Amino acid sequence: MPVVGNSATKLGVRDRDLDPDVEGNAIPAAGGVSVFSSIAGIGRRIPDRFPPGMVPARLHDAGRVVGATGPNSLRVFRLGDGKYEEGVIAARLKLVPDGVANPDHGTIQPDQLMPMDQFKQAITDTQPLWVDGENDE
Amino acid sequence: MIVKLIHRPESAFRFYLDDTLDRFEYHLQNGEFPDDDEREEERLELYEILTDQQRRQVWGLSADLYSLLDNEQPPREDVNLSADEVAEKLQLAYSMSDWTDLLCLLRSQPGTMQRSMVDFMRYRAWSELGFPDVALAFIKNAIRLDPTDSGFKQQALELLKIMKHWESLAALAGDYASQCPNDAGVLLAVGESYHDLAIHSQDKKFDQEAVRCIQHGLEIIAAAEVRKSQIDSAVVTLSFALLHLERAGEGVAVLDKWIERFAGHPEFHAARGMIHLTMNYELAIRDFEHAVTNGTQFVLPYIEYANSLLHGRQYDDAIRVAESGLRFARRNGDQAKLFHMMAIVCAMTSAPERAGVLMREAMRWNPTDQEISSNLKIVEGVGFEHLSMDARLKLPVMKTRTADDLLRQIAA
Repeated sequence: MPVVGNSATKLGVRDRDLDPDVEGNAIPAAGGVSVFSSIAGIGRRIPDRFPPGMVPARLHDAGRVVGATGPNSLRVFRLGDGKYEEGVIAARLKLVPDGVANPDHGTIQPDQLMPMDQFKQAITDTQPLWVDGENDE
Repeated sequence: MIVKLIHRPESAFRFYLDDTLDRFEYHLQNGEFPDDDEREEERLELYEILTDQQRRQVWGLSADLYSLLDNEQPPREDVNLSADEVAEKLQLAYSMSDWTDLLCLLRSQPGTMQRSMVDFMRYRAWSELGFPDVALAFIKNAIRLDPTDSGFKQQALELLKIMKHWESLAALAGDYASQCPNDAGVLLAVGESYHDLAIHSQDKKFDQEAVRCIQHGLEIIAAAEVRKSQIDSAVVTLSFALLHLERAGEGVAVLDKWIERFAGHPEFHAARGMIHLTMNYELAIRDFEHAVTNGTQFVLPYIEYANSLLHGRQYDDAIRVAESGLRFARRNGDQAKLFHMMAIVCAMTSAPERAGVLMREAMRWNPTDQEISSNLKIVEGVGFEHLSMDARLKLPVMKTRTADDLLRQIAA
C-alpha cells in the first residue's frame, strides 16, 4: 500500500497542491493531487513535473523513463481500471485531466466545496484502492 | 534595508547539473544512486524555477550520463530518424554551433557512431555551452571507452587547464607521462600542461618536466601523427620553459633551429622576440616585426612593435600595427595599451577629436592607468597648453622585462 504523508512522493495533499477559498475550504478547479495517465505517460511528461533524481532508476533500466536516477524504493501505484477521463474516482473525489496541452497529467480534486481536512481525509481514504502498477503499460 | 537569500533561475539549473553529476559519481563509487528523498520538497521547489528547456536539458544530461555506466537507453520518440538523416542533422547542428540541438541528435543516433566519439561530441557541446565540469565527465568517459586516442587525452588536459583544476591537471599529466611514453601528441600536451603548472605555482620543477616531455615528444614526432599547430605550440612552450629555468640561451637556440626550418614562422619569431625582450630590446623588436608582418596571434609583439614605431615617429605604421593587434588582445590591459598608442598617434598627427575618442576608449579598458589618465587630460586640453603635443604626451617606455614578469604576462 502507498505511504500516506504530505510530500510529492507520498499519498497526501501538500499546501501548495490546492488553493483554498478565503475560508480555507477545498474547492474544485483550484488544483489538487498530481497524477499521471500511465507509466508511458510518465515517460512522456515527466520532465515537466519531476527531476530525474525523483523517478526510480529502475524505470530507466527498463527503458520506460529514460534518464531516471531516483531511489528504487519508489513504486508506481495505480488506482482503478477505467479510462483516463474526468469523473468521480472515489468518495468526494474526482479526476480532472489537464487537457490537450498536457494530456498525460491531471489532478485529483474535491468533487465539491468541502473543509480542507475533509479533502485530505478523502485522499487518505483512497489508500487501500491503490494497487501495484509497475507492470502496467 | 532587508536582505533575503533567493535562488536565481541560473543557479537552479546549475544545482541540477551538479546534482546530476553527483548522482552518477555516487553510483560509480557505490554501485547505486543515492537514496536522499528527505530533500525532495526542496528539490521540487528548485525544479519549478527551471524553464521547460532547462528541464529537458537536465533530463537529457541524466540520460546521457548513463553512458558512464554503459547503460544508455534509446529515447522514446514519436519520430525515428534513419542513420543518414541523423548524420546529416548532426553535421548541420555542428556547423551552426547549435550545441543544444547537437546533444538531442546524439541521443537519437541509432548506435552507428562509436560511443567514444558520441561522448567526445557531448564533451565538445557542453564545453561550448559553458559548462566545463559537465564536459569533463564526458571527455573522461570518451578516454575510458577508447584509451588509445591521443586527442581525447589532450582535450582532457586542456579542459583541466581552462578550469584551473591545477591539482587534477598535475595528477593527470603525471599519469599520461608514465602511461604514454611513446605518444608524441600526448607528451607535447603533457609538457604544455607542466609549463602552465610551473607558471601558476611558480615551481620550476614543473618546467623541468615540461622540457623533458616536449624534447622527447619532438624527438619521436616523425613516427607520429601530430597536428602541425600542436608542434608549433609545443616548440614555443619549450622555449618559454627553458626561459623560466634561466636557460634563455637554449630557448633561443631551439627557436633558431625551428626558424631555420620554417622561415618567417610568426609564432616562433614572436617567442624568440619575447625571450630577447628579457635581454636585448633591439633584437626583440626585430623578431616582433617578423612576427607581426606574418600575423602572430600573440599580442605582445603588436604592442612592443607599435611602441617602437611610435617612438621612431613612424605614425602610420604604428597605428596600423596597434589596430591589427586589437583582435589578439584578450586582456583588458592589452586593449588599453593598443588604444592608448593609437590615441597618441592621432594626437601627434593633428587629429585631436579622434585622439580623444581613442584615449577615452583606452581609459574604459583600464580605468586605473595613470599614464592614460594623464594623457587623456592633455588630449582634452586640460593644462600644459603652452607646450607642443609631442612634449606634453607621455609615451609608453621601451624597456626589457624580467623573465618572470614576461611569463606571467604571457600566461594571463
